[in-house]
Amino acid sequence: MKHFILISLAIGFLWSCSFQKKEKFSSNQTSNHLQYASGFYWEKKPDYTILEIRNPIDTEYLLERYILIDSKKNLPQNLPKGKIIRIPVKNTVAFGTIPCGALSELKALHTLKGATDIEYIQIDSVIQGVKTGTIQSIGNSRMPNLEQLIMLQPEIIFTAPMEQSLQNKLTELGLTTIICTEFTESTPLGRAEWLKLYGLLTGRETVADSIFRLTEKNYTEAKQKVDSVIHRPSLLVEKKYGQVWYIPSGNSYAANLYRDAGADYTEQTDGSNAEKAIPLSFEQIWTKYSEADIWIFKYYDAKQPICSLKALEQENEIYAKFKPFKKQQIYACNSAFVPYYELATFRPDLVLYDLISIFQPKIFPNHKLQFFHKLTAE
Amino acid sequence: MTQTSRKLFILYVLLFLLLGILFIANILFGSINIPIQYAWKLIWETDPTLEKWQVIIQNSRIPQTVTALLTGMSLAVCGLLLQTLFKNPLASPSIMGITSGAGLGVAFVTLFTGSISAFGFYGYMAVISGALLGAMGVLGIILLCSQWIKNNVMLLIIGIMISYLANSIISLLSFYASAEGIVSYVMWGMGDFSTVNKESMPYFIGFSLFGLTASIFMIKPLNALALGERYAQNLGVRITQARFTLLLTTGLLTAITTAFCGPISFIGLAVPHISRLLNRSSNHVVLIPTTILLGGIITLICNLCTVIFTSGTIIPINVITPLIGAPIILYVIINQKKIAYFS
Repeated sequence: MKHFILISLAIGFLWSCSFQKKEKFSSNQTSNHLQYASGFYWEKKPDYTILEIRNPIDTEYLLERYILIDSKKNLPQNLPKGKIIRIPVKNTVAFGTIPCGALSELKALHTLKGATDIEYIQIDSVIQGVKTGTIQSIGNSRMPNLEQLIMLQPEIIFTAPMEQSLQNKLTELGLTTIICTEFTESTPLGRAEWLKLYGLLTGRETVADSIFRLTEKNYTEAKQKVDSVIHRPSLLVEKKYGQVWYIPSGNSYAANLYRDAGADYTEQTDGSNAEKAIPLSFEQIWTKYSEADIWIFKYYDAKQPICSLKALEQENEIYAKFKPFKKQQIYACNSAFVPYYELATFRPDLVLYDLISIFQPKIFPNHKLQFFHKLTAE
Repeated sequence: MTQTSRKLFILYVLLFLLLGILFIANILFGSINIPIQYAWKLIWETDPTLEKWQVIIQNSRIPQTVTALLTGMSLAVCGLLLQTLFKNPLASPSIMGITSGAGLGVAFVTLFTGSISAFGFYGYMAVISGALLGAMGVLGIILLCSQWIKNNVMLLIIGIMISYLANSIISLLSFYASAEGIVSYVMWGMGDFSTVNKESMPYFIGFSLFGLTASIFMIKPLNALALGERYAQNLGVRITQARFTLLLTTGLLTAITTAFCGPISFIGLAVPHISRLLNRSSNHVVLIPTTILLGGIITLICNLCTVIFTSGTIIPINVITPLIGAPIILYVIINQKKIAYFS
């Protein structure tokens, strides 16, 4: 659901961008630095580094180009067109939880001076920073406190695509935004590789590389263990919102993650590789998935850390008709109490361990679930 | 039987027939194609060999159809009561801010209690009471204002202003709500007939039928009020009591539908006009039953449209209702002098 909202915003933002003059995304040749991610690219020149973000909708084109220049060096002559950023950045602001997760992984939270949507962030040092005043809460990402932003004067703002009016306002105020579109990557390792972008900007390139290598190693090794299994449980995902049940498309990040973890997830797609939520009616879900072996969903409830079968049935009695409910094979992740969105993007290996132990419990018999919990009767 | 009575009889037979056909059609057709012979069978009996279809018919389509039917009937009759009470063809629960008031009540209750369903009977009663208080509060303010402000357009503007006020408080509540809460609120705002489940259905049916029955008992005072307050007083109608009963009935029906199905637009505004145009009369003896039946019919058509024009998914109900409602309202506005119900 969160991704659905994000993509809707992205489409609005990118649509409005489409009126601007389009520039080709430089690199259809593969960057040496990146193996999995396709949404950004960088190239080191003697005096500067070019960083490009790909337009995730019109993928041949550029969304934004940044020229990264070492803060100790003088500004070189004849720079290519792009927004100039002096690196390493020492004063950043994060719109949303994901950039906070990246900075936390890189041990670069000292650069974070402000963040939006503080109440949803599950990182202890950020919560502590807000309490002590080293990190300022600047409202929510749809409507940030612009006066606070002006006072902070961040070198960069890490953000997902936002409404064009807000983007224009930030540009007017002389604030540089890094539009992070990692959510458009369709593979978990593709998303995780975006950590390198944060490393590049914060001067933690080596740390980002080593964390990514560890993630890649863990992920591929765990996936290989699952590749040989014969029985793959069928999977029902997410819950009903209003009249609609949104589920990830078969080519999406989530679908790839579920398959890599040993589940049988084969939802039809529309041919697009992008992260998409498909809106289905209850009738369609019931017809396709009522006999699924396992049901898994993510939700946000700041009042109750865990969900029970009773609570789920009270929410909608029809849920009790599904086979996973009857067999008590439902797992949920409450992002109000576990740092799912903070960690899942850059450490998909940790999520994969959880999912493998749910779908293929024999592979990691001693694994203790970190993000998900099994729903019990009460 | 006079010619008028015969025409009326034919009209009611046709409306009942259409209502029956649409009720069955809503159960037979959905986003999944179930062969008609099986769908028909599963309306009446259970068959373990057809369990998947049985759940769709009995646990999804039948409750949704009943909800759509009663919601349509309730909102339509609310619109009629308000239009007569305020002598204003543009009065309706949504335009006069009553729906927003009910929504505000629901927002307060859900904010303080979290998951309503977790409290069973008391949870539902809390939601209904919250919605009722909100709806009645708005209606009370408008009624109070109507004592001093006799201009109908001004009263309508007051309703719209109250609606803005209620929406601004709702926006404030949403601003501090969780992401999940905002999504739920947005979804609620789109209207949804699938929210009334087996547990809450008896309350929904009970309160709706109570309100609809009460509206039938108000035919006499409504006819008197339509002729003017002084005339009504001369006929022995207790104006204050009649107004209060009308207020209570409208508040209850708006509250119950808004609490369960979200704000459903245009039904309350458009259906009374279709009813008047069809009957060519302002007599509530014929208007009330026709409006109730037409409310059910129009809402069932809208509910059917949410699934039959799509491949698998569902269009929100509030996307469909303006398509039917807006042209009728435009017709009424353009031909206001010619129609002149309240002159």
